[in-house]
Amino acid sequence: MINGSTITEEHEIIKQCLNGDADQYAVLVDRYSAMAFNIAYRIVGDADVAKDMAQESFISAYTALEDFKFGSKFSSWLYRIVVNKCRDHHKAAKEATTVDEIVELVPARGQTPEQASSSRQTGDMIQKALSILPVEQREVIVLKHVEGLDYGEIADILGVGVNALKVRAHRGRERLKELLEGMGVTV
Amino acid sequence: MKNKQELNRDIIHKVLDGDAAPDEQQSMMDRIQADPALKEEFDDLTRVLHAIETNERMPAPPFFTAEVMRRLPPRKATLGRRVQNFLLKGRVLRWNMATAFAAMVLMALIITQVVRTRNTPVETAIVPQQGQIVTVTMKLHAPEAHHVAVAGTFNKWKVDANVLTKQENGVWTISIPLKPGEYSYMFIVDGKAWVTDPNAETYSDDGFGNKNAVVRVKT
Repeated sequence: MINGSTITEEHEIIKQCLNGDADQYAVLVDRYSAMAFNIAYRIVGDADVAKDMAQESFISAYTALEDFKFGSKFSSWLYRIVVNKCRDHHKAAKEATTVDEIVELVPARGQTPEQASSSRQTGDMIQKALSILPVEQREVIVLKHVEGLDYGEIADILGVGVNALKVRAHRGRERLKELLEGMGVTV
Repeated sequence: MKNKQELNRDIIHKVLDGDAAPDEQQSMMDRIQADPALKEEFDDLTRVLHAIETNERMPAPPFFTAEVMRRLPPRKATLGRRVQNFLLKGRVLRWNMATAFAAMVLMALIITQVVRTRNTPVETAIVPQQGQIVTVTMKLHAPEAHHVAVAGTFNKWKVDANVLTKQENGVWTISIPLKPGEYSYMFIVDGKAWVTDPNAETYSDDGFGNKNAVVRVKT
């Protein structure tokens, strides 16, 4: 949980960066690297791409520090940049990915209960199910249930109203349940 | 008009979102518990969300911060910074012999004064200096190591910028002048092992098992 003193400290770091002390930016990168990487991974579904997306996000944030609004949290601003980077990636990759390739992401049914119940494989199945969700549902599910943000903050990050977000979340949850059942995963 | 199935679905998601008031939440839960089909649907969704929420998170890839810092574009300096750079940047001066001799005498006097007033070596790791620069001494006991360097936010995580010197007792040391601020750092032993300083002032933990040593430099 980010408290008021953390926000104040981060604002000071941003001011130092704006005054030319780039080294201080490493404190923010250290602090949010895992968060940015995990969001990107849950949205794009590939660790190498997620690393690129997360690193590009920090570089874009640094380049645009003059635009940072000091009334807000750096983390929220970074969330938005990460999500937008992932959207750009999806747009670029969309034309190259056929429906058949997406369907191949879903493993064949008929795994043994031992396989399905292993924690590692369950994690892989969850990631594959997330990858199949429509992007707008996936973003909400990741921010709400992986990152634990409330709808108000997600609305700020995605620029979408709370009611619309809830509809996306409801549909996303039900679709995830169907997908995991279809994969034979017992959660 | 919503049918019964849609209304039931709304109830489930309202409970999952925690949107209902406490008394309303209780009446919704009673309704869910009383309807086997509704309860099954609710339980299934709850398990799915629990699996997602407790799914293992991954740490950031190795050297993530170092790579970002290396790739940062140069920032255009502000007016104040440009003035500072103008005043402090090095220049080639043309002196005549008399001026050079006077400067040498003045320098010798300053050095003599500094040596005369110098105290015995300090034991503390952080030594304040003039101009808000503080010398920080970092130490690592690694008698078997052949090479120890330190990388951190103060040198943009460059693994070869600050190499420690080995003492006879197997302790590697380095003194680095730093501006006030908070710096994360790690030792790199023999060019491959990243070692957290066991005697650090504090540590930054990202919650996923990665730990950097942290030094806070104050004036």
